[in-house]
Amino acid sequence: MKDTFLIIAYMAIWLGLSGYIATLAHRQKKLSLRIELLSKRLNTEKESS
Amino acid sequence: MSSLHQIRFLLCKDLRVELRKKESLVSMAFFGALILVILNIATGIGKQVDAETGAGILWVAVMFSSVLGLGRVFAREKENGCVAALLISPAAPWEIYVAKALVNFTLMVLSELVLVPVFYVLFGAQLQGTPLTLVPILLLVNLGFSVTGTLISAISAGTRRNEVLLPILLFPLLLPLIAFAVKATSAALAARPFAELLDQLEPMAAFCVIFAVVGYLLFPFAIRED
Amino acid sequence: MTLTNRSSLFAGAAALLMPVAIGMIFFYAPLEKTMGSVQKIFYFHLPLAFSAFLSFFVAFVAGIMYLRTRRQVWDARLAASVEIGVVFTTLVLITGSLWGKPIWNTYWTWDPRLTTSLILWFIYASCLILRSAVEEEGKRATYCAVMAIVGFVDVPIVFFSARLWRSIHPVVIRSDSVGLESSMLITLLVSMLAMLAFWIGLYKFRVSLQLQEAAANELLNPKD
Repeated sequence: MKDTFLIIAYMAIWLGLSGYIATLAHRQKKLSLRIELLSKRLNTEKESS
Repeated sequence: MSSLHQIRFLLCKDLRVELRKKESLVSMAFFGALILVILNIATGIGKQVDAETGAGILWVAVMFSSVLGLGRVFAREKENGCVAALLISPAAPWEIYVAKALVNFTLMVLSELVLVPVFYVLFGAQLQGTPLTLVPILLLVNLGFSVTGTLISAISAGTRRNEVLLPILLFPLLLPLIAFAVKATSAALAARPFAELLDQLEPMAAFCVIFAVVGYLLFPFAIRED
Repeated sequence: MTLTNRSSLFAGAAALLMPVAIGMIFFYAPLEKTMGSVQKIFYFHLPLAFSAFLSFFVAFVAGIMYLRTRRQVWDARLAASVEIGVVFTTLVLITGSLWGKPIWNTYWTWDPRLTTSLILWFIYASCLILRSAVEEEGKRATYCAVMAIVGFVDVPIVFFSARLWRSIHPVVIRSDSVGLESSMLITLLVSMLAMLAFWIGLYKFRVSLQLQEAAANELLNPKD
């Protein structure tokens, strides 16, 4: 009985923290994609001008 | 013009607008009475509530109706672009803060003049305390609500979701004040001696002082439009 | 990129210390006599609560600094600490209830500590909602700074008022009467260090992410 609560609590901690880190990592990934697109656009503008 | 003059001028301006349009006051009193009726039905028709439940019911009605009026205090200025006009007027930001808090205080007092009698009609059968002992509690909550609420409504009026954000931001901050008020009110409604109320009234007054100082310091930042 | 490097330094320290802490919790720390295995929640519950409170303090300081200097980096620090604080407080509340259920026989009681954490959670979660509701950067930063300061001022008041309520609510347990054995204390210390390193790494990462996003936004939509 007590062990169940312990296991649920530890699962909650690790699911919560890793979930948060995963969202942050996702945001970081989206950001680098945006920056990549931006630099590509800048390069094409430079070549055409 | 001295600060006192400025504040009185701003206060009279807002009260005059309110008197002509009556948009806040009518909806506050109406909504509060509506909540009281709903809670009366929800507690069971024909059942009498005791002092503690009654105190909770009264404060639910007062809080939810007051937040309606508070939302209008700044939204009216924002909609007409009058905040900029207020800021370039000779009135200092803290004078605007005091005036707005007083406007809200007045609106709350006036709406409670309707709500408390309605509360007594609907729930008063079992309550022994006289309504007079409620007066200091009501005044202190009005003050605490106004000094905190004016600061928060300056923030929420600057967003596009004023009506939704205002209670979300304000109610968590007010929780300690409401807790004291509910406890004091249940003592008052049960006709306990006044000295018992004092234990709750003192921290409520401290709450008002602390948030008045915080509001005075932070309001100039909240009202700036940049 | 020094920011990311330093953040990975702390993340590395946390990655080293976390497994050590978990190992110590389950194999080194003795079983508590009355509470049994559930007590092992404590070794993460307390560090989480401490780091959550630390984040709100950082948010308070960052709010004051932002209003004084108007520098974007303080807004990024504020945003990072509020967000991490809310995540950590959520976990504190969850683990606390799960610890309370078998020991106090209730998920929730209005103990001052519990009340304060819950109200803190509400205040700073509303601050996050406020952040999502304002588009203009300067406005958003000012509003959040004001809210973070007001919220932190409210903390002692909430704690004090909750202590007064106890006169009507029965006291279920006094959390400061938990005596700690030295091996438990060492375990707690290690997990506290691990959590702090984790917090710093997370915080630095979140701040740099915020600043990078703001810079990218500026490049994509220049102001003039």
